Amino acid sequence: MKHHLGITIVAAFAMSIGTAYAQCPAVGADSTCGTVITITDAGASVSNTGQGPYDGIDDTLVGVINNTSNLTISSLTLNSSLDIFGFDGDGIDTYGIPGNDMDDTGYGGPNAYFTGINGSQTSGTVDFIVPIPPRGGTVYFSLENSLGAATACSTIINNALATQASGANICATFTPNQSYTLSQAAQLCGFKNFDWIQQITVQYDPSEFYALNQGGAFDPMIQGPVQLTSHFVPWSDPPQGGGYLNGYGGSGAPDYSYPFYYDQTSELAGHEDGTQMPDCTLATSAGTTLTMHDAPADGCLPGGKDVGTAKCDNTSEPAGSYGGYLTHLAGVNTDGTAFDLGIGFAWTSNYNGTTGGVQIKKTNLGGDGNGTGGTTVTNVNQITNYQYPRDVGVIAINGIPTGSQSSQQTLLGGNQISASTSRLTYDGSTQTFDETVMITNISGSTINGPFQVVLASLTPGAVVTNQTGTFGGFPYLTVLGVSSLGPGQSAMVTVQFKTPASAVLNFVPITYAGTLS
Amino acid sequence: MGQRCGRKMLLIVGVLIGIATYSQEPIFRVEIKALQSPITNKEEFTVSTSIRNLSRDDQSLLIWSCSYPQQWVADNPDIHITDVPCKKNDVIRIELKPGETYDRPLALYAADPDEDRKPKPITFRLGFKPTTDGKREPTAPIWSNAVTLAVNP
Repeated sequence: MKHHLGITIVAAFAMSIGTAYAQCPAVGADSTCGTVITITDAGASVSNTGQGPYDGIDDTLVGVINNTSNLTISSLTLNSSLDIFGFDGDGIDTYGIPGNDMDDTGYGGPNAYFTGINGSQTSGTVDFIVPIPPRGGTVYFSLENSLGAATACSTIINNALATQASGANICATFTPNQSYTLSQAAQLCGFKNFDWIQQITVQYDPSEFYALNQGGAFDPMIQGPVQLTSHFVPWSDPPQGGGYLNGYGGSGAPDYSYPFYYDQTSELAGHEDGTQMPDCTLATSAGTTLTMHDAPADGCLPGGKDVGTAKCDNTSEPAGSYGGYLTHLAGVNTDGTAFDLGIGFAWTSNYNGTTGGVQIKKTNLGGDGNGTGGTTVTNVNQITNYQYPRDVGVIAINGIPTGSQSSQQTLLGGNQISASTSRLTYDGSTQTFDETVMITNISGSTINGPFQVVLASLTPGAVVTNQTGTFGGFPYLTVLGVSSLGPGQSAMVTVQFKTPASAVLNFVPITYAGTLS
Repeated sequence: MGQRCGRKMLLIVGVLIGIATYSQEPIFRVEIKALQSPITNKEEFTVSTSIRNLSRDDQSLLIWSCSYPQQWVADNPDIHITDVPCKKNDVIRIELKPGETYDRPLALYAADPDEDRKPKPITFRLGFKPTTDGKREPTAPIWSNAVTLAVNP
C-alpha cells in the first residue's frame, strides 16, 4: 500500500514539473522556472525544479499553475523564512522581461505586482493584473533569494537521535548530522538552541506526585499544590509553576524549566558539554551532543516503598501499572518559546524505587536497581515534519487563508482538554474499526484551534486509514470544522483503524492546538 | 656524574612523595548541621548538608536533581534518610571554586527500635557518595562531622 502511494506521488511530481516548465520563459541563467507553485482544489504545493538563481546569485524565477477546477486566482499571499520580498533592483524586468505599470520593483514581469509586504520582507501578496484562469492557467514573476538552495534543517536533524534504556535510567542523545555543532545546527534550523520537552502520558492512581502550581500556573482552578492523578495526563515534565512539590516528585528548589525539560539558564549547558550521564553509554561530545537523562521512581507502583502509606492513599497502583513518557527534541525560539520537532521517543518506567528493606535506607544512587522495574523504549521517531528554511509557502489564495500558515503547536494538558474515547465499532462499508475521540475544553477559558489529536503509543501494527499525517511517529487527525472551543464545549473526531485480527487496540490521545507540520 | 644522577633520583623521589602527599589531601569536606533538637522518634526532621571544596582548584560535583537523598548514607542504623518519589530526575554538574560549598537540606527520621518511652540521645554521621560520569563505580562515602540529637519517644 505504501509502495503504491510512493509511485503515485512520484508520478504526480514528475507531471507537475513537466507541466511547470511551460509557464516561465528563459531568464538570465535559467531556461525555465526555478520554483513552481501549483494550486489545485486540494490546496497549494511548492516545488523546486533544480534551476539555480536566474541572476547566478540570489534571485528566483517563480511560476504558478492554476490547476483548480473553477477557481480564478487574483492573488497569492506568500511567506517564507527568507526575505523573499526584499527586492534589491535585479528583478526579471532587468533581464529583458516586460514589466507592468502596477509594479515598481522590477520583479513582477508582465502580470504581477506586490502588496502587503511585512516589515521583515518575509511575507506579502502577489497580485495578478489578469487573474489566473482555472484548469491550467499560468503566470510568472520573480522573488528575492535563492529558493531551494539552503541546507534543509531536516537533513541536519533527521536520524540524529540515539536512545538507551539502562535499568531505571533512560538516556538519549541528539547529535546533528554533517558534523555541525549544536549551535550551528540550531542556527540553520532557525532556532536559538535545542532542548528537550517531555510529557507524562500515562499515570495510574493513586499518584504520589504533586505539581507545585505556583501562582496557579499549572491549574488556575486550584490554589496550592495539585495532586497529579491520571486525570491530569498529559502534563509537561516538569509542570509549569515551579515543577513538582518537594518530596512529591521533586526535591530541592523549584524547577522553572517549563516548557522545556532542561532549564535554559541553569541546566542546559551541562547537557551540551559532553558529560556522560550515569549508567548511560551513548557517545557524547562537547558542543555537538545534546544529552537527555531521567530516572523516575514511583513508590506507589506495586512493591514500592510508599505502598500502603498515606502518600498512596493507603493502597497501591494496580498490578501492571507503569508511567508513560513522551520525550521530543525541541527548538528554542528566539522569544524563548518551544517548538516541538516531533523527533523523539516514547518510553515507560515501572521502577518503584524500593530499597529492599535494608536498615540504612539508601546506600546507592538514584535509579541504580535499588528497587524493581526499569525503563523501556516503546517507540522512536527519527523524522521531523518541520520545514526550514521555509523557502516559500502559500498562506492565502485570493485573500482566503489556506490553513498552512502556522507551524506552531501547543500541547493541551489534561487540565485544559479532556479526551475520551467511545467503544470500538466495526463499519462494514469501510471495513474499518471506528472509534470516536471526544475532546472537551475543561479549562475556564476559550482555546483556539485548529485541534490535532495524536494517537500516541498506538498499538504496533494498527493502521489509521483516515489520518491527517504523523507526528512524533504516531498518526494524528485534525478535528475538522472546529476553530475554537469555549469552556465546556466538546468536539469529536472519528478514527478509522485497520488492525491485525488479534490485536488489542491501545493509544493515548494527546491534543494539540495549532498545526503539526 | 654518579653524584648528579643520585641528586636527580632524590629530586624525582621528592616530587613523587610530594604528589602522593598532595593527592591524599581530601578534595571535599562534608558538614551537616541539625536544624532542630530534640527530635521525635519516627518523625521527619531536616539537617542542612554542606559540601565544601577544600582543594586549590575548581572542582565539579554531579548531584541528582531529585534523588539527592540516595546519594547519602548514615552510619547509624537507627537513622533513615527519607526517600522521595521522582519524575524528572537527572544529574546536575555543580562547579565549586576553592572554598565554595554546595548546600542543600536533607530530610531524615530516627527509628529507635527500643520503645522504652525515655528520651535519649542519638549520634550519627552522614556519608555523601559522589556520582561519577558514565558507568558508575562504587564510590567511598565522604563522611561528615558527627551530630548528636535528643530523641523524644
